[in-house]
Amino acid sequence: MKGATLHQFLTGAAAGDAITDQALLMRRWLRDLGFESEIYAWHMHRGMVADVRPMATYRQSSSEEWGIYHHSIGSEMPDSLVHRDLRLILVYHNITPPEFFENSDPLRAHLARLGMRQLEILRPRTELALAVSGYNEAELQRAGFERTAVQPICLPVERYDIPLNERLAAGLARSGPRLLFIGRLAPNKRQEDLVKLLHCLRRLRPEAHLYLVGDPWEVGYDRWVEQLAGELGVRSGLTLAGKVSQQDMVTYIRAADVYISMSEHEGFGVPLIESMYLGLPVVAYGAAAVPETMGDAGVLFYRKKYEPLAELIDLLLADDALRSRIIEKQRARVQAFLEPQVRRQFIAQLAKVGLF
Amino acid sequence: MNESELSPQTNGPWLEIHDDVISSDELVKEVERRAAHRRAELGSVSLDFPAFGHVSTYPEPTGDAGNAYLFYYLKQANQFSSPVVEPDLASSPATQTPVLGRLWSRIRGEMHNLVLFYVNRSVREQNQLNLNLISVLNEMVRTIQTQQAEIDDLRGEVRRLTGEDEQTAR
Repeated sequence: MKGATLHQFLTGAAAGDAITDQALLMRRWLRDLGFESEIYAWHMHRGMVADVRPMATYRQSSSEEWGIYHHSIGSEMPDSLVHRDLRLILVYHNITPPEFFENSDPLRAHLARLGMRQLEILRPRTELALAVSGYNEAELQRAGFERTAVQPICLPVERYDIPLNERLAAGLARSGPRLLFIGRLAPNKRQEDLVKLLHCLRRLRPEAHLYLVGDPWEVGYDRWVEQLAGELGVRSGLTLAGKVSQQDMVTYIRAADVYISMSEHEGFGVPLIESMYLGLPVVAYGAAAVPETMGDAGVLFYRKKYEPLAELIDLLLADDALRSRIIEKQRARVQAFLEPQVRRQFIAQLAKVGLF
Repeated sequence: MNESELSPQTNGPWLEIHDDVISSDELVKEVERRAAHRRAELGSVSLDFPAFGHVSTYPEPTGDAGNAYLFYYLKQANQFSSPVVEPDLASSPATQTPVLGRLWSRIRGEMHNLVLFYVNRSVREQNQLNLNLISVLNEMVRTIQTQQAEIDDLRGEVRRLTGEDEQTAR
């Protein structure tokens, strides 16, 4: 496909964002295959200027027939794309249901509803709809897309096999058993339930510490979580680390004892496989796409029974043999999300529509 | 408000592990045994937690509703507590004009989004306050309903005892 053009389009681009990371990886694969390929975003963080171009600068060339659009929220991008003479490959990353924001953030709820409606206008233009999980594929099929396939998220290992932030690691080593969750602070991620679990765990392990890494995305939710921790008497055991660099994120994962997720909506759950790759036992609430991402690895739970869950964490901290078996299974599972395999799948998807 | 009991996605045990040494059932039994033992040892722990964005539901009138206006206004408040911010741009004749129309439409859209961004902030705060106030009202009415039921029971008991006394006196 030397010389052919296949650009990607995103609503927003930011460093450390899972969708942006996937787009960057795909661009590398496309360029390796001989495509001329750029990434265009409607909104972009200043730090992305070298890698991503603003949509306002996009001009469709006369020979350009195809485009890849990553959809995750309502925006102006779908309207802009469907009015051009482009055949689309849609990559569906899932839309967080508006119910999670209805009472706290009406605009975000509106954008979620808009994103769902925009699937309708994207459908006639879409030649192939790729979903990052079977859970997402089922949503696409319900929305009327006929030609669908699963194209999982790929973990670029070179971003994880890096030196740690030694200063941060030394600081973390001073705290007690460390629980970790990574994800923007949002009601659907249910960080508040992790605080409730910490409340129960601290009866068993008074030094237990919960680290919440992620952007305070939903205004006010971070304050509410902190306030709850105060009311439950576990504020000293909670750190809201905010959005961190890749090196710091790897350091948090390497230093943690257990990765725990109470999230009630994940279209895939990238931090689950990041933790698996870096050898951290994962305990996760089995909502949405989480069971599919976990496969037969880690520990899933389907009811939030805080006291027994605290006992489970305590068991994982004490039983080295159980811990090792879980880590071993996770290492096997994460192979399905590494580059050689996922890249081959991506090329096979392009072949389906005659692009390779 | 207590332990979240969302519908389990499997019919099996609530914990799932794929391990050669311990099964999911055995793991459930083990952690629940430990939790029960811990409760016996350390006493029970309060699991009555608040939840973010939780809104108390409308308390339906029970039996003799008493003050019908109270329930009317309370229902109205519950129904209109959360205004929705929808960027509904009406079509404009100018948008049909080539080049300039598209530019105008774009500027209008951007301005609209800008206004919406700031309005949303304010609405979000007001929504939160509304929902908290309505939740307080719902819970207060629920408490009044419970107390009223108790008062009615006690009145009945008083009437019964008074009746018995009168019969004894005769």
